[in-house]
Amino acid sequence: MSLALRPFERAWAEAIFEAVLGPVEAHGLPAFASIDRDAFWQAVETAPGPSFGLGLRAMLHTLTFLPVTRRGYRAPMYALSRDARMDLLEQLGADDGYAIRQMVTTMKMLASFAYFDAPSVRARFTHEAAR
Amino acid sequence: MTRPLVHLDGSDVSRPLTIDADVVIVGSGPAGATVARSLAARGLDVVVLEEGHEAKPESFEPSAIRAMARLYRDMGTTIALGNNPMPFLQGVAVGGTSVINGAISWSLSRDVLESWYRDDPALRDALPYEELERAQDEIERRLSVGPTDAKIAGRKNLLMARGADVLGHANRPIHRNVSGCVGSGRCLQGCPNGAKLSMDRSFLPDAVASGARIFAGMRVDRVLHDGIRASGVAGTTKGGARFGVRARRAVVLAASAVGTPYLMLRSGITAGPVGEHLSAHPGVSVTGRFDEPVRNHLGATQGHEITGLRAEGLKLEALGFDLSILATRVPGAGREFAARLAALDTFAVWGAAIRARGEGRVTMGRGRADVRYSLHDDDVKKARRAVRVLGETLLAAGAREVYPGVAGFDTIVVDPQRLAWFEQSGPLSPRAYPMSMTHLFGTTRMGSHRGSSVVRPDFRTHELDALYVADSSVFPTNLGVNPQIAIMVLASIAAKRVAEAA
Repeated sequence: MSLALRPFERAWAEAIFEAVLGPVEAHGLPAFASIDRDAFWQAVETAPGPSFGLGLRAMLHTLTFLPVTRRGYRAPMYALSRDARMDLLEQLGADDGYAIRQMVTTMKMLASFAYFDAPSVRARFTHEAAR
Repeated sequence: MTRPLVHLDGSDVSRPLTIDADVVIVGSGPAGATVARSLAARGLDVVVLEEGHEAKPESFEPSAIRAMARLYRDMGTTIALGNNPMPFLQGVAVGGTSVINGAISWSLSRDVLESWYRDDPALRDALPYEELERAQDEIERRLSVGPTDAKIAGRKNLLMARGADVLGHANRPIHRNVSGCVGSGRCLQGCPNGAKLSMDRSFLPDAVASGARIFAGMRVDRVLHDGIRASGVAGTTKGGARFGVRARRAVVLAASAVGTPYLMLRSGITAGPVGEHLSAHPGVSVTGRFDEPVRNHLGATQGHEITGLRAEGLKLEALGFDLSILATRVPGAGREFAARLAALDTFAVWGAAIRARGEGRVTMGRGRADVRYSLHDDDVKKARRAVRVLGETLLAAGAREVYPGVAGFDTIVVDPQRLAWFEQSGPLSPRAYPMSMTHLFGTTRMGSHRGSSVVRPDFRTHELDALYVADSSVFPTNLGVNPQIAIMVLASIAAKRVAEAA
């Protein structure tokens, strides 16, 4: 099995990233959907070791279907409204279970990597020091 | 004309290659570079093999993910499994981890050395303090080690000084190996100004000037030996070809406390506790939010430290992360997180390195090293203490609120008394504490007894002649402080022993 996520899996992951990051555009920051994520995905799908790819896929599938399997929703994560995804991830981030918390933490880390890789986001904090 | 740093990059090698040398060194980080510099200066024909590539300052990017993809082993996703799974970061580039560390330079402390002497009296003669001190002085001069200049420290470091002063904790500007640092805050992504005197900008050019040859993009798979003596190494180039290096006098392993034992185990070199006794400095961090701009990603990456708790096994330091990593240290997900991201300029993250009692091991996994490490109960208590002091210091420095990041405890703390309660009654489950593992030691520990050590006091392995280990794998214990200078000091002694034997 390829370690690179399939297009639909990337879309699932980005639905989670967008919800983890929250309504950043309401605070004057670029919307997650507006930034270029290609360089991020290229890094994530080529640089880490093979176990990372397997772990990421397992985590992604678990979180995507967790609304159905554990929380009584009738739709997987990507099919929920953004508000519902945010509600859910806010809860999961404080879950008593270590594994669930770690999954949210990992997704938050990846979302932050993707978001702050974008020059338009970095420019908002634009104090990149002179080279 | 100055010779290029890299003699040959393995990406360009697609046919079998054989190289001859007096000494082959596996790894180009602080240990390997120190040995190469020393032996080349003595006139030996030295070859250095590095798995990563040469990375030049002009190519370093500010984005953490891009830097990690290019300069970190497995993009920084390597994890030590145990009672609190922890990531550990290792550089993969010419210069090793020195390319991506915070340039923190601590002397090898006398108290640690004395404890080594007590545990194994043979080390007193093998590693005499005066000889180490002389080596250290020379190394620190060459690397321009000195305290961080307040002018380029940046707010996060100056705030730590303020908070520590208020609470009466001994503190100081961190001593670093830099020259001309402008405080770009990008040590961990590779210094874009070339101001950090990492090995690729100091010892390796020195070694090349003395005739050493550095081969990049060459992964060593095994040590060649006949059961009595090591005779070279073999491996694979990034271009997919097999290569071998025949070493007339010595093979020196300097591939880290993970890479060195893994290579030995792969090569059937198993006498003694190879891969056992992995020790480390696990780290915790606490984030604080200030009313003023901190701009945590600017200024000296790590420019101030609290040294007053060293006797307790804690060293606290300011952490200068890229924006993306800083964001992960901010609590919440969704709406709260978005609001905090908008104020990211006002956050500071400070961390503590714990001189831990926990131990682990490196074994052969499927095609890679398998690393296990578990915290001791005392280490969790130290983590609790560290969280308290970090939080108190942030509040004393003016933070409006702090985020301990400990599962089962308050997300936001504004009252130091709550932190005092936490130290007494906070969670004791290791997994409550998000931690990372820094500074690895001890996996081919040095000692005079064959059964309990892997490397003799003269850095040769007990099992094979002409096979030396020069990196932090040989350290009998952890140090409690950042180890790169100690690694170089011991590596310089290892180089002397190699030269004497050769």
